Amino acid sequence: MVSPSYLSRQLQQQMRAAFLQNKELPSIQLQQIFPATLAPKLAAQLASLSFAQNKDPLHHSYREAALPPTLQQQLFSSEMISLLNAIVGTQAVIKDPKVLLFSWKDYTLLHDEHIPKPGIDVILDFTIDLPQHAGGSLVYVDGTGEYTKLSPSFNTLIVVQRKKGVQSFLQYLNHYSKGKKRLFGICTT
Amino acid sequence: MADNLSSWISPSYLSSTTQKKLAKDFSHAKPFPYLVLPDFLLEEKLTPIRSALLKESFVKKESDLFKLSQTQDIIGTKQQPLKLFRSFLLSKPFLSYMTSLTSFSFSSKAIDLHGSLYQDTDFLLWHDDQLEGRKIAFLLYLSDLKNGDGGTLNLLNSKSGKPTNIATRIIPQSNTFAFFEVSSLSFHEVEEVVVKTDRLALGGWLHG
Repeated sequence: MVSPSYLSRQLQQQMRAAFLQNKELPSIQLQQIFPATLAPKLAAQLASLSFAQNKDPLHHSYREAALPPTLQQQLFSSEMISLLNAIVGTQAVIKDPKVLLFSWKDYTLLHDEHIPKPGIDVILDFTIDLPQHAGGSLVYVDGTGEYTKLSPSFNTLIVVQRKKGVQSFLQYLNHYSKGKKRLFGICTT
Repeated sequence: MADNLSSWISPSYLSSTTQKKLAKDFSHAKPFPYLVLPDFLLEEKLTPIRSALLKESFVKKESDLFKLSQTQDIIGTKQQPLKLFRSFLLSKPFLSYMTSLTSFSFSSKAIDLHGSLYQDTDFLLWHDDQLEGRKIAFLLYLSDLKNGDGGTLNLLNSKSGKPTNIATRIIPQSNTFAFFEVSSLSFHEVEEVVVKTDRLALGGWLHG
């Protein structure tokens, strides 16, 4: 179930235009993507999943959980899929969904030898109260020095089209993130 | 004469007996060859170096791997104490001294030297420093941090060519000269500074 305001066809056309505005990195962030009464419940369900440490120090450090089918259906409902279709302009097929949890000292790094294939990242951000100066921003880089930085934001849908050579990393979470978590569901389409 | 070892380095490090012991310590060190030499420079040399470095321009640098402030290479400085220090590091007496401690030969024409400043939340994640020509990575600490402040230089164990865990933590203490062999196994990091105390150092690489 998506916030009703995002179901308007006219608004979806505007979102498509906004998405395409940045030719190098088509992207959009939609806040309050889920209704205000539903978002905290979804966040609580995600936070209660069983997370396993995934650490390869030269590449990343975070905890990861599989997205159960029932929760996947709530996050990627038919309304959400329609919205994604409208934004990206093609039929969205959810691939490789997972839930990532970052806390103090976690991060991901760029890796010259494993640049991901072009694709579309769909991120549902459920981060609560992470201070701006705590790190944890999602940064997309294109290898020429140009970058786009996406700060944590609760109940936000982020859609990013990665073209050839574009990678992302999650900034190291510093000690001001102590006690907080950077939580989001991520998949590609 | 200005590059004479005894006019720069504390006398306790200069006897041949001490050099032989340090050479043995270096080669046997784990997780890879390194040395930490406290109270390294004579105070009359250290103080002007620190004062000069604090007048240099530091630029904030941030990437996926690090967040810190750095000067440009000291080769471009106009400040005499830093020029003299750089010149000393490239001098025949000093490079011969380093050869006696490490058994490596060093180029007298190539050195990387810059000032680094780590402040609250700054860090440098795990990496090995490997780049063509680099033989020894070194640091002269110019400020003090305490245990628990962060900012430590952590040397990492490795297995099958990948870093595993922290083997040694080196707490920055002013006038400590620390250095290690650069190799495919010289994994290290600068732990995040978690206090408002600055971690100031001059560092770089000697080339072979």
